[in-house]
Amino acid sequence: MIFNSAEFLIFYPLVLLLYFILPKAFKWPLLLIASCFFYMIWNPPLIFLILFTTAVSYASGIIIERTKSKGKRRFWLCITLITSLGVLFFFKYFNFLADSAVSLWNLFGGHAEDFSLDLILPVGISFYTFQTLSYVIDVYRGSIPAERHFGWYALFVSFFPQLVAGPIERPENLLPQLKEDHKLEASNAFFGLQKMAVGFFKKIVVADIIAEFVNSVFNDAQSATGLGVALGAVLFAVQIYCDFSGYTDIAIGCARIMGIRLMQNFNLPYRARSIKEFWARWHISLSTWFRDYLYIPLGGNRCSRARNYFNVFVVFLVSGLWHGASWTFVLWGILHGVYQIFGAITKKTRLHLYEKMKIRTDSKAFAAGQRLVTFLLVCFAWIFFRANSTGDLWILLEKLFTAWDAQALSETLSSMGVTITAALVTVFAILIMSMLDRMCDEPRLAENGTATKQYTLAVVTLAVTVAWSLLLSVGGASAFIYFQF
Amino acid sequence: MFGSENFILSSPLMLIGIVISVLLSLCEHVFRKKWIFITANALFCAAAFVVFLAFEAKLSDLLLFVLIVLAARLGFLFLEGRRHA
Repeated sequence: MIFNSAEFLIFYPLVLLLYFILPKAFKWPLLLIASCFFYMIWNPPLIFLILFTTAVSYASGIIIERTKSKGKRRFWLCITLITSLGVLFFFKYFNFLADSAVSLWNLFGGHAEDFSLDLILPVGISFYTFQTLSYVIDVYRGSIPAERHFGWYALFVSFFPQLVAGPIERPENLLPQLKEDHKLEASNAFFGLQKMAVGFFKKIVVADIIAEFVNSVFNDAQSATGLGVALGAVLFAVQIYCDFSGYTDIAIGCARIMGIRLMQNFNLPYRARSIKEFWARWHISLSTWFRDYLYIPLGGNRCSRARNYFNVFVVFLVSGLWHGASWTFVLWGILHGVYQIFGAITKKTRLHLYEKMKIRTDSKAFAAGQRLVTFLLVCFAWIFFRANSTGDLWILLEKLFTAWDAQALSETLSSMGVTITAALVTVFAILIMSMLDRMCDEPRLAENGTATKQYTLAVVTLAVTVAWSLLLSVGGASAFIYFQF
Repeated sequence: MFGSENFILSSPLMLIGIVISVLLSLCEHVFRKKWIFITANALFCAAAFVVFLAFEAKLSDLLLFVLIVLAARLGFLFLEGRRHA
């Protein structure tokens, strides 16, 4: 089930009503059943996969906590890692590795046959696998006690607002909240509805409209022009942000109405002044997961500089791989790693240069320049992320650097389906989205009080309702980009 | 999704509608009796929709109208929020 569907419009209010009517003892079974139903709409048998991952991590947590021997604790942790990651690797990466091996073998003159399997990628597998791993690792480290109640733990793994595309929640944040008896509160309802409305606006009005233009470039790389690739990359940057953060906003809003606070996953990422800052603002739950469970265990920055760069490289390589079983995602991850390493290596030189050139690094113009450069670097990397294949990727990059023609502007826009109406709709939709993002996070709501409370919800809800009905009349509901991960 | 250009380019109706709606939002921002202007704006927009449809506006044109009106409203809210801050 996807959020922007008629089924969800019926499902969610019903679950909400029952949640607040039922006594505390029945809340977690309700949410667990609802979460299972939410997931099984896609493919019922895949619920057994989540059940398996849940059961393995649940049992491991208890065994690890009860075991005194350090060696045995480590053994059970390894068993859990191998099992959970093994499932993830099988469903997500087996065919990728098989195809790559065959290609490599054939490249050296061999004649290997294709041995890939007909596998369905379970929706959300990357997300819930990482969520269960964070639980087991935290129990192993002694940061949290093992959860003895299977029902609560299963709900932690499968909680429907964040099950299929995050945020990747930490057990110390979500588990205690799931056990509380939440009552309907006006502030939670207001904030939650507002967040959902903003999320739907980002997805339906911004992301889905822009997707048409982006697809026209990336789905036909041969016909693209340099300008088309550049424009497509910038629009894709907006599309993926609105798609993913829109989903997160809806997830956060859904949970908040129930009184459950999910973690923030985005913090105006395109205002970042460096790639490092970008990753502190983009998909925060994933980047902090990699920081806590991969980067720091590798040594983080408490080691030699060379080792630190290696650690950064590994983290981003794995991050790219996490996003998808394709060399384009791997290259995207590596590119971000290279960005960070290059930034670290050249930091002193750049500061020295600014000093020599008497550039004021505390000025607004300098900050704007940094934001622009960061945005352009990120957009360039998005070409790797969005390209349908490595073949298409090389074509797009070649077009980006060679196929420029000043007279091709109107042709490019026309081939992308960009009419005056479409351009204006896109511009105003992005403008509204950026205003909503800055206005509608909780600290700002608290500051601006009356004006925002009184008007924003009504205005945004109205706009979403109108926009949704308009758009649904011309196209069906589309899935979120991050469901494929 | 996006139809012909005819409505925006050939008819001043949408431009007039946008100007009036933005003026109502401005009045809402400036004067105290906000609910009068909110109601007037909502009724005006509803009437505008009917008129646009009568003049064969496409759904994309209506969406554009809604977005421009919303952008104006949010712009004033944004300014008001900064003023409070």
